[in-house]
Amino acid sequence: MDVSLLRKLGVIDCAVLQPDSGNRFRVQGDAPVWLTEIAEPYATNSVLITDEASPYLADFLIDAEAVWAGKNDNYLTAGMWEEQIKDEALHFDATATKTAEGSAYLIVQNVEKAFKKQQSVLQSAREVLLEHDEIVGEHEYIKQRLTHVLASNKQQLLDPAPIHQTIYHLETGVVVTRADGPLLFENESAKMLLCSAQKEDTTAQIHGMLTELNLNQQITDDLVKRKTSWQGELFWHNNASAPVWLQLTVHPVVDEANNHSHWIYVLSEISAFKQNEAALLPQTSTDSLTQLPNRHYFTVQLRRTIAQKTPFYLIYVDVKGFKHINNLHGYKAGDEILGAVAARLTKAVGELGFVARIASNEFALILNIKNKAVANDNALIFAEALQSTLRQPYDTSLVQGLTLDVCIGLVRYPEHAMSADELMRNCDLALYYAKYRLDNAICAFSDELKRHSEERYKLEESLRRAIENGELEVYLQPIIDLKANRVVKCEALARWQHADGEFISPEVFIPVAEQTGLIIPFGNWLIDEVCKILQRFKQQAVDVRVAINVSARQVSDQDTIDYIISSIESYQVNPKQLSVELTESVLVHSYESVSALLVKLRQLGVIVSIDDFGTGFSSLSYLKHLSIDELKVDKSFIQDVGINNNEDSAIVLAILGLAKSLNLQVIAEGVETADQHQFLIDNNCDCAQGFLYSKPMTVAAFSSWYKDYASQP
Amino acid sequence: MIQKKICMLGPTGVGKTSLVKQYVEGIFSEKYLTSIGVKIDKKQVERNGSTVQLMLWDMEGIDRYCGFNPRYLRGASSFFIIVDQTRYQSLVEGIEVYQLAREANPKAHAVLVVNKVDLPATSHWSRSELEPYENHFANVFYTSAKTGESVEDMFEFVAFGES
Ligand SMILES: Nc1nc2c(ncn2[C@@H]2O[C@H](COP(=O)(O)OP(=O)(O)OP(=O)(O)O)[C@@H](O)[C@H]2O)c(=O)[nH]1
Ligand SMILES: [Mg+2]
Repeated sequence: MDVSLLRKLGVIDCAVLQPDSGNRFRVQGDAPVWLTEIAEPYATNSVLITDEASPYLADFLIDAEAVWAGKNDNYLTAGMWEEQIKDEALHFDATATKTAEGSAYLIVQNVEKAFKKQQSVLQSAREVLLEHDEIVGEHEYIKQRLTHVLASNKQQLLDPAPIHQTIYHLETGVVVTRADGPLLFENESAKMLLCSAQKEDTTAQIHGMLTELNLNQQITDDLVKRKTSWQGELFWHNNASAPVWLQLTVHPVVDEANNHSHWIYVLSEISAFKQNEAALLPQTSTDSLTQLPNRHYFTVQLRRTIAQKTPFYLIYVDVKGFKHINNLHGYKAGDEILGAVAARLTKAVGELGFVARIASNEFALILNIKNKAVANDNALIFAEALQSTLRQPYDTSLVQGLTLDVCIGLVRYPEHAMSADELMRNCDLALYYAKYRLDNAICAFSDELKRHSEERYKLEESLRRAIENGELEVYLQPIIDLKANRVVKCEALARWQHADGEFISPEVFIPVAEQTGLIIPFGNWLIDEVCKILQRFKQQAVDVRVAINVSARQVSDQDTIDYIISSIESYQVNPKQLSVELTESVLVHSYESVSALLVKLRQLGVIVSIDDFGTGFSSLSYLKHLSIDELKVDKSFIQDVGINNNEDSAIVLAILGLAKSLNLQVIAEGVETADQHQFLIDNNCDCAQGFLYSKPMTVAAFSSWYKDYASQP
Repeated sequence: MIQKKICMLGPTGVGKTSLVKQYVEGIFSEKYLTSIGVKIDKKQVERNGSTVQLMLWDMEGIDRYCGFNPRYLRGASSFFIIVDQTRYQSLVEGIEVYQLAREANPKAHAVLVVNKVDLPATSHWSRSELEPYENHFANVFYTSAKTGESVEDMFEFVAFGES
């Protein structure tokens, strides 16, 4: 097409030039009026490009000549520049090209429209950036002042010194802890940012953040060593309030003698910037590992999709146990697997959907209902297919044949929520249920789910209060040595009687405690109570061991072992009287922290049992390599033993054989009938527990029951 | 007449454009209008009968939205690294820009300009913080595009050198 025509039509405003000799150029077609302002007229239809007329263009000729000489690519642009023409600023770009036939061209284009657009986008983007810098600067300032005060005078912070006052009322959140953990100081802003209720403590929240950011011990130790701080942003989901973007600075206070005395945490909310930024430049927001859009881009896309007002599904996919893969095979392998997951997701979703990586092992899909796979509301079927695709073995350069488990949560727009925030929240909830509640690990949002979660939240709150107010009580269930017919042990079980008189079963509240982290204060309470009981038993000559259950969270919490040790010491308990029970799933999911904990417990002399044995997936290798003493056979296997030669009997016999070869004791759980009892005796099972002997009872009832049992013939 | 190419480099919003405007036109504006691409201004400086023509290349701030283009440093006789003393982060970024520019043009003189001295510096900014970098630069100026403080000095320095 004729360039002059395009120009007349106003499609492009450009000059097409062909190099003549030196800096002389022939003009093709009509010249735009501005050409003679940036180039000197020479002869008819010729111009000179000079330093005087346009130094920028003259400079670009050096690169253009390389293009025309075939030294570089066949195409190069100069980049935008501004020329002052009379009273007006005009904006241009230039391109040097070479056609396949070898003709050289210089195209100078007036890019006013593109300039204006770019200018307005970057104007706001940069204003946001500068504001953000201000926050970072503020962090730097607070950090430096505090470091100075903490390093020079450790007492000053405790006095109502001026700095205390200043920091207390800052809009920026500040938390200071001692190097070994305990909170020293926090201001109102930190509490507001991190805690929903006054009772939650900021240090726990901060530890949650560090975990989320993967700032492990190794990294923080390194900060101390290098005396530097860590700075970054995170999208923080506090259980109770809406998620926020935070700017976080983590700084160790290390004095001249290299003594690490404190940690300083500085926090600001930057959600507003983040939203602006995402809205301005969504196209730059991809995740470098998978090349998928990241969380920002995803939220922008979600809002755009909502704006179209046509139905769609939002789906979250969570890769389970990813930490385990990283631990077992290394981060490189983990990264490869994530890349492979991303590829499978992209393929499965096809063109009518959008895939993003929104957290380290979490992906989001936006699925248009027009997508055939989800038409007619077949989203659940789609999710199942997706799940089975993702469960196929993965072969990468570092690992072969690895399989993954995934959980999927779904919500539908507009039925389940209208706004982006609510959609994300509800999808989170569905995913949460998929993770913790459902066997098939796929869950679609429903109002019932929401009601359920609200009830759960209430339960969580009242459990929190129950732990604090001592509404919980320890019950004990005896365990009998079958050969000696003696009570040798008992299991400590928590009973919770709600203020309104209702009993709440551990099967209900323990999972809530585990999911919310309340298991830690609960676990500590139980450890204390049991040590108190053992102290009392010593005085009453009740010679039994008491077993407590320890959950996965407690196992991975470094403080658990310290808590056990300190309770044992403060109540002067013989560690051999204490026994710890872990379920198989804890073993499988946190193998490394478990084995570390077990070694320490064993060193103390504490007896270790594996609970609910047979229901999980523990392989022989786990049992061989862990320091354990006992297996507790799950009651589901005991139920039918002794009735006839059924499968369960065979399993129990196998477990007994296995235990013998590994030199482990066996306790049968849930023994209710004389037949079961006889079967266990006939097959040399060591111990048994169940209603046949006694239900769980109060501590006082237990000690008198114990004495009666001991004195019976 | 001698002609010298001078590049104005640095992070966003530090006052690159304002310094040129103050020097060339004697104008200062409080309003921030971010630069896109390159703008070249010329100014002749005279001293002891000799005249130098400065070609002042004012460039877009280097940040996450605009990368560094080494081509622009070709043939430069000096480059300014401009930072903003009210923004600590701009110093950190300025040093990064310096390293890129140095690599692109090992011969040009590098001059550090700490701008906005009419405003209070961020409290944690102390001049001593610049010390480790100072020997990388032919000179350091503390300027204000607003009041004009040291603005002529910095440009005359790149036009004629120390004397
Ligand atoms: N008070 C004060 N403000 C200044 C000074 N220099 C620049 N400013 C202000 O700082 C803002 C940015 O100035 P510019 O000159 O546009 O900065 P720039 O470095 O060219 O910015 P970009 O082109 O976006 O990279 C404007 O609002 C100016 O008014 C100064 O010396 N003092
Ligand atoms: Mg500018």
